[in-house]
Amino acid sequence: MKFPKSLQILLSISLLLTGCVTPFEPEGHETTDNLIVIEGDINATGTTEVYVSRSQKLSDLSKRTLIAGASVWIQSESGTRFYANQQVSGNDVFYRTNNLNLNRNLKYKLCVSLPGGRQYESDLVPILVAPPIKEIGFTRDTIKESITFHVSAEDPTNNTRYYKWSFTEDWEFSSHIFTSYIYNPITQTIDELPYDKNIYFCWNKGVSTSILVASTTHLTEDKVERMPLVSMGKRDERISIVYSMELTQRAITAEAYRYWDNLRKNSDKVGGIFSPQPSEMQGNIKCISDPGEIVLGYISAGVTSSKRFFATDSEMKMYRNIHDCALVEPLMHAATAWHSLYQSGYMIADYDLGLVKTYWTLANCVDCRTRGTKNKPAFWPNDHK
Amino acid sequence: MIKKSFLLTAFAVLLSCGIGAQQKTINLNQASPEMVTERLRSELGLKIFFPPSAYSDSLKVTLNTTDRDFLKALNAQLQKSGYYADRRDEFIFVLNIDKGQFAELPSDYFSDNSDPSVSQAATLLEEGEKLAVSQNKIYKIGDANRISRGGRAVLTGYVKDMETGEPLIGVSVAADRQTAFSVTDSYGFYRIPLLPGSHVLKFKGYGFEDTDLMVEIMGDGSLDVLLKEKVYSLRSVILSAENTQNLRSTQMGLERVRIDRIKHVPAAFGEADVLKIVLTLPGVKSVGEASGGFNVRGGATDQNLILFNDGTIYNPTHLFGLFSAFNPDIVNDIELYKSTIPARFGGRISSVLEINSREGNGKKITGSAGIGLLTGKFHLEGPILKDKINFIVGARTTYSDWILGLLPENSGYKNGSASFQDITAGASYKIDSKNTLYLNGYYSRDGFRFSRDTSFAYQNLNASLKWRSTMSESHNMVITAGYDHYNYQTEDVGNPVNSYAMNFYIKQGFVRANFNWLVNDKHTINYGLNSVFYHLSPGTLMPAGDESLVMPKKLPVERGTETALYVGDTWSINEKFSVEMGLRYSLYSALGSTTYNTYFPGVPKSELTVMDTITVPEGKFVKPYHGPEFRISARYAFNNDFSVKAGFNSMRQNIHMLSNTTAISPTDIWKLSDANIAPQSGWQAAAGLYTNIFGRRVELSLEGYYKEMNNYLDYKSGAIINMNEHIERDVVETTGKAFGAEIMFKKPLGKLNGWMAYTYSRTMLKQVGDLSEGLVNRGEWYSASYDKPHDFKIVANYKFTQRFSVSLNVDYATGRPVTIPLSKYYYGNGYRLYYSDRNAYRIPDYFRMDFSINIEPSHNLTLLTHSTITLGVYNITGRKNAYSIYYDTHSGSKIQGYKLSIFGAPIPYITYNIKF
Repeated sequence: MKFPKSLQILLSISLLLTGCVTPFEPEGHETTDNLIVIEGDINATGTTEVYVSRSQKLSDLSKRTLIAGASVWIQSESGTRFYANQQVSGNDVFYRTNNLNLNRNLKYKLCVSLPGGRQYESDLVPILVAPPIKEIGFTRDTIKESITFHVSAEDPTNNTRYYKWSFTEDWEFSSHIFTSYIYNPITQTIDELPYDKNIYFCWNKGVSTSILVASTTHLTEDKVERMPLVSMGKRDERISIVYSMELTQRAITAEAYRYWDNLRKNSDKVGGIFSPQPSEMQGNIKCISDPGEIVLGYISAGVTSSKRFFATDSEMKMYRNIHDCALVEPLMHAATAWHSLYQSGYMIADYDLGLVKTYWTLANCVDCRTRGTKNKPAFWPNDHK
Repeated sequence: MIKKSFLLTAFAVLLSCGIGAQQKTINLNQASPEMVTERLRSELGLKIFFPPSAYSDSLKVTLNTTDRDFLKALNAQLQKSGYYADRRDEFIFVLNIDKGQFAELPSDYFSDNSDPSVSQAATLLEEGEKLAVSQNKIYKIGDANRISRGGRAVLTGYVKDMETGEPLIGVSVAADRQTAFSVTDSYGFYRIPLLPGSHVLKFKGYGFEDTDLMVEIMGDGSLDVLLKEKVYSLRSVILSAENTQNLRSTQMGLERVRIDRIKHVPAAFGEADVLKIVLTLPGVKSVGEASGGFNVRGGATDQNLILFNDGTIYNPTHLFGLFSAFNPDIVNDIELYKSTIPARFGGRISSVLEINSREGNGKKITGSAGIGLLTGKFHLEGPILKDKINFIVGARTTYSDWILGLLPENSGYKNGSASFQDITAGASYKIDSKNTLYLNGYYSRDGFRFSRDTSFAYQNLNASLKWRSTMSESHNMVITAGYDHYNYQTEDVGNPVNSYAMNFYIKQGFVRANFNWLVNDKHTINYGLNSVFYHLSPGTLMPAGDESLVMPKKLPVERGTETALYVGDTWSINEKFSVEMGLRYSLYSALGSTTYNTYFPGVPKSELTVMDTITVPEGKFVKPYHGPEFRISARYAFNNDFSVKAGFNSMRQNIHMLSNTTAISPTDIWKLSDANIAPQSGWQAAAGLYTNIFGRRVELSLEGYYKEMNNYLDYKSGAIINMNEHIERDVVETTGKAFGAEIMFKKPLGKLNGWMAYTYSRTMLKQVGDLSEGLVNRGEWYSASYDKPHDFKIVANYKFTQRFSVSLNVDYATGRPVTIPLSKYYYGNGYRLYYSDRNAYRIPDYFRMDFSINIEPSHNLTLLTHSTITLGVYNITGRKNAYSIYYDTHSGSKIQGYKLSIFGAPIPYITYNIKF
């Protein structure tokens, strides 16, 4: 069917405008805080870290409120207790056990006693041993221009069935423009920057924020094939030079899978026309002092497996260094001009000693430390400084 | 000519003997028909009817006579002007003497016969069927010697469109002096008991010229009537069949909308939409745009029985609910029963939506073709064998793929596609004057492909054969047998190892027998039997491709049988008071072979509470459920313009739709009641006031209702709906209550026509069970997701001329309830949301206004083709109505609230239709 061109354009515009998503803050919606949140999967071999915090109002932009001074221990079904000690790391307060080697035939629970005296404990959970991670890899999508990292797992004994992953990530990146000079605001001079002090190569790190769970109960073999972990677009700095991921794999129970899968649906799959409606699922932690109190969290126990993975830009071939770093040339070749540029957030990009000219650009164009650190991880595979 | 008139006079005198013992004289001098009418009424107590031509001819009457000789004298006068008069009791009919008018009269009509009824009756019986088109003729019905039933005779017949020969539904038939009143059924059939003697029968149909027919009843007989479509809407013709019916029928909460109305209501993308019109009626709501389902008076979407030509439609929409799946060129009208549901319907507890297609033009082959922005459609209808076999067939298809092609490269839908088709076909075969066979078929298909990897499709298929027989003048029968089918499949081949295809289907075979028996003028009995056999496959999961490790899994097929017997009586106690009583008894059971678990009572059903596993052999009842359903309603008419009605209904439903999404989702499954899931049941009590105001131009109705539902299934937190072999563990039983009041102003005719309705209603659900089970909202009442208390709608059309009209739609409703988070917390390295009470927050209120202009450039009847153009704008204010409010955690990194709007801008459209 052929329509007049103008009509076609009109319709296509109206269709593109129609289905739309706009940020929205519900009015008159009372939100609450102060629900107790307990996090800390029991690690059967090694240390277990436990975080006790309170939930926040939706509008609360502060970091999580961790609770200090609690008494935290792991207790076996036979009653043996393994206490965790309070640790402070920066603003974070958490509780860490000693290096433990728990009896894999027993069930364990996590117990927390708050300074006020309220007692919380999880259900007794079995220790599940995760199989080794089979493979970490990535796939390139040239249409969407993105790269997706994935994990494959399998359990030849067909016992695991429910998997959960988390990872830490490190990446090396560079600023957009290499500079051999730096302005010294104290002396108000332009100094040469030796290569070993370059602000071109930097490193940064992060953690997985998504809920990553999979089930193989519907498959004939206990195999997870290329489960997506994280996707990055072509302008994502994490894939600019070298990307590294340390993936931790856990085996979880069917109940834990349902809990995490529901939490994932509540977090990521809401709002669409056919999205399931969000629904709250009770975790496995209860307040013994007040059975009616709602406690958030789910405690599992197990032996994890982990694997580190590296990918370089030459393998991934996805990163596009697109930036709008324009060079600015001050009219005067004088410290006063330099200083005002410095105070406006500019840094020197180049210094033409012959023409006696300086070229400046915004700090984030030349200084990678605006988005990372010079702390190169010990395991880094290349010789960049 | 002279001889004839003499005989007629003799005949008239003979008849008049019984009346006047006293002699009265009457003097008329150059009296006009109006004057004659008035004088006769006041002086002799006679009613006289002149044909229209008598007025236009300026007929004048001069005579001086007694009432005994009045007719004779009148005839002597009239003959000069080409008229004659006839008398029946206190009626005098003045008729034209011309060939055309007398062509159908028996040749011995004016013969020298002192007892004309004998010879005439014989003639009429030979003639068989009569067809009435003329208002100037007296139709003689029946055999005077065979009057039965305490002197009452029954007149039956069909009312048809004069142009197309199609049956007309909902035409009211009323005798002027009597309480007798009838409305044509979906075959255009009427049946009215009358006292012997002369009557003026009034036929009134929406959009048709009011027709008065003069009949003389001597015994049972039949009379088919042709009505002419109203070409001009005159202001003076106000009273329509629809408002008469509202006041006179005991039926409450029945909404009937004809297709010409539907075609004038603006709709998204200009597609005349049979289901969207339902949403403009009071008491009907939906969760939002682009959702296929509708909620009637607080009922859930699966509690509506949708019948298209007797076939049950499980998914009545195309494109995920954007359009209804019924071709508007085929559909004749829709009827929505939301309160008084006749006993012949059952199986759903909220409402019945009947969609009737047309029978097809009985006179000549005609058709139409239309082009919209998204669809193209075509239909053809006409006789195969004149007066014996008619057919109608229509098809629609979409070319909406080009829309997806316009989307930007990176939208992810670039490689998507969406398509749908539907085909409707019907044929009727008139075996003889008493028996007709109808064959109906319907097929609709939707296919979607969101990316290269995932696709989705669903199909509806319905076929039915219906035999309709008029067993006697007072008894008729409809037997229908048919097959309904609905299935869907999804396929995901994105990951070779996890590639799968999933299938769901439901098939049902049914037999319905319905009998109507007019016992006498006070009682009409309706009885019959409905039987359905269900065969439902809840899911089959198959690996797709050689590498797939997906374990083939087929959930056991569910079978069930449902049989109901019913009887109903419409009892007209007197002119003012009538009662309709119905009793339906239904028996349902799931059938073996099957295996099911029993659970410990009083504790939530779960793997841990399984008590026993029971195997039921092939064909045996798993667990029978049976019970009566009552349908009672009554009407009291204070006068012609004011009546009150009240009713009570109870219903049962053996099939459930399971869903954890707000809208009807294409992957929702249906579940038969079984040992662990009891049938739903519900009752409704309603009362209403109906009146005509503003000189009968506007109908006002006010209805209130209270309703309860039991065993309605809601989902548990974290429920898994698809491919779950123990679905009873993931659903919760709820009870529901709903109440509301609906007020509606309706102006069916005139330059300005349409309706305005306001509804206040609430719908609440409550989970049944023990508090320790972790009940939804702690076992307290919570709002259903379609609980929208205030609701205001306007559907209006203004006809500037016959060729040019404008339509306006206004829709306002309170925002629907949604579940939004109460708190956030940091867990697993990201922010998570804590949801608490279900449906505790409401999205912003909904408001939409649509506008359209309808142009029919050619209105000349002699033209070969007629075209219509509709230009319109959907959502003219461009309001970004919220479909949902939700929070996204962006994979745990930040929390932001969002509003999703489906149609966030005005949508202009144009459609072009051509009729031939």
